[in-house]
Amino acid sequence: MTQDDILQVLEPAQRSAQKYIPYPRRKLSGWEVALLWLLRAYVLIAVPLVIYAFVKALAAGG
Amino acid sequence: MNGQGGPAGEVPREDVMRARDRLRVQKTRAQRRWLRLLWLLAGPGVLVMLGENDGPSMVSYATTGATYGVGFFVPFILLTFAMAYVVQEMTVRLGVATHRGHAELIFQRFGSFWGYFAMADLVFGNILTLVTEFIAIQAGGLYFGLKPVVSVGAGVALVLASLALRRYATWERTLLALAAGNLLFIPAALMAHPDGAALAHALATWGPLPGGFRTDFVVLMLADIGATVTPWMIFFQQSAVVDKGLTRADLVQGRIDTALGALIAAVAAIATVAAAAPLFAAHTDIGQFASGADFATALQPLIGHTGATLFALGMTEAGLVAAMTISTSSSYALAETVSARHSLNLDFHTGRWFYGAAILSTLFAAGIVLIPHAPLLALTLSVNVIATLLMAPALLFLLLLVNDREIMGELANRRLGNLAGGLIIIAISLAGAVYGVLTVFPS
Repeated sequence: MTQDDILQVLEPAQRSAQKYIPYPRRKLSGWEVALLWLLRAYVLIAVPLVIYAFVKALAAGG
Repeated sequence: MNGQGGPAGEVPREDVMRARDRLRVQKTRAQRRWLRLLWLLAGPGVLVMLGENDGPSMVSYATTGATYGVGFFVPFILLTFAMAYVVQEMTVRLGVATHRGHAELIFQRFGSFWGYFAMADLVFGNILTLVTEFIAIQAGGLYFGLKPVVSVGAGVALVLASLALRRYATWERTLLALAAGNLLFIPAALMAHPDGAALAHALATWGPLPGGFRTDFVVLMLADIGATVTPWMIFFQQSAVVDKGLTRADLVQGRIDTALGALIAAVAAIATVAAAAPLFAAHTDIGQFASGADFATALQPLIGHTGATLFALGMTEAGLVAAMTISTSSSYALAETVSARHSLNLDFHTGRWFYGAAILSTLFAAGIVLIPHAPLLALTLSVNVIATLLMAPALLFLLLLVNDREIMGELANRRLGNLAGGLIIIAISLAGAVYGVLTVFPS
């Protein structure tokens, strides 16, 4: 079996020639953008809180 | 970068290796050898679930067992793994429908602005988690009397050696063999002589819950959620499904692989709770524990030398396998972000971005752990909480992609999948909000 024969088992979209061609961009709807921003704000508030609690626990322990 | 990386006209090594794997799958399917077919196609699901039973996760489960014994958290852990299945099954569908990794899909479909946000979350979470994996490796080593520099150095050497395999199939099988070490927690649990009636009662009633609803309880709940569903899992499994070459025809096996992984990981997680439960019965104060090694040491008089040794070995294995999967998840995501080639089938030159990300992140995390007097146990639990908080936006990106009919076709999410995904986002966000309120207003 030649290398070309072996490569035939791959779907065209699995071959590097196609796999690395980017998909076109899609437009996000208003509510999708709003949700993404809401969860971004959530992360930006919640993560510092965990860091604060971590530092507080360290200060109390040491 | 154009993602090609090889001389014009030359067939990329990545394609040849993947085609050889697919040829084996095609022949086995034609012979209708279904178990062999499942064996060939399984891997990403089992690896991602056992990879997530990592150092911090096992410490979270041990802390749960030592703080609450066998009770509420046993069914809760089963629920979190059901959640993990729901989430990870979506990544399998995305992988087989698009043949692209998660990071590249976010960048391509939603643009760089949201892409960099998703990557920032992933890199932040992955680096922190990778640090905690080396904490687990170091902790396991301490139990066996190894100096941190020796155990952490050995861990780094093994991670780098796994990357040197330069073949996805070999890498995956090697890691699966190592990940079987997660099952060491089962004999350790049996040596703790768990009460079968108490386990059955916990599963049936979601109780008892000694101490009630406190900040510690919420932290452990979040840590246990973070021990089963985290952003790196989404990026890893989708990219691994693509690297392995799974197609739409393999979706059933991809789902079985994921469900099997969730089941095995849930059993190992509950076994860890049961193994650590004697510390709860003995009223051991785990507040002063510096690392996972202290759990094994404290368990020695309660479950015996062999049980404690299995516990420490399991902890080391958990850290090692996760260090390999998490560093690979960073590699896939970073290489996809810069549109470089991304596959474990690449040679070092063509995959310099891919392998470089794993090597650098591994060395960085290992270096942090070797800093003297670092608060390792506190860091471990906090990392799981952060992983849970970062999961909400990661899940939203996942839901948006898996509902994108242009790329998913008939594999797009149905109403039930969206309902489950939406409920998971709401539950995780609410748990995080309760944690925030309890942190700011502890009284």
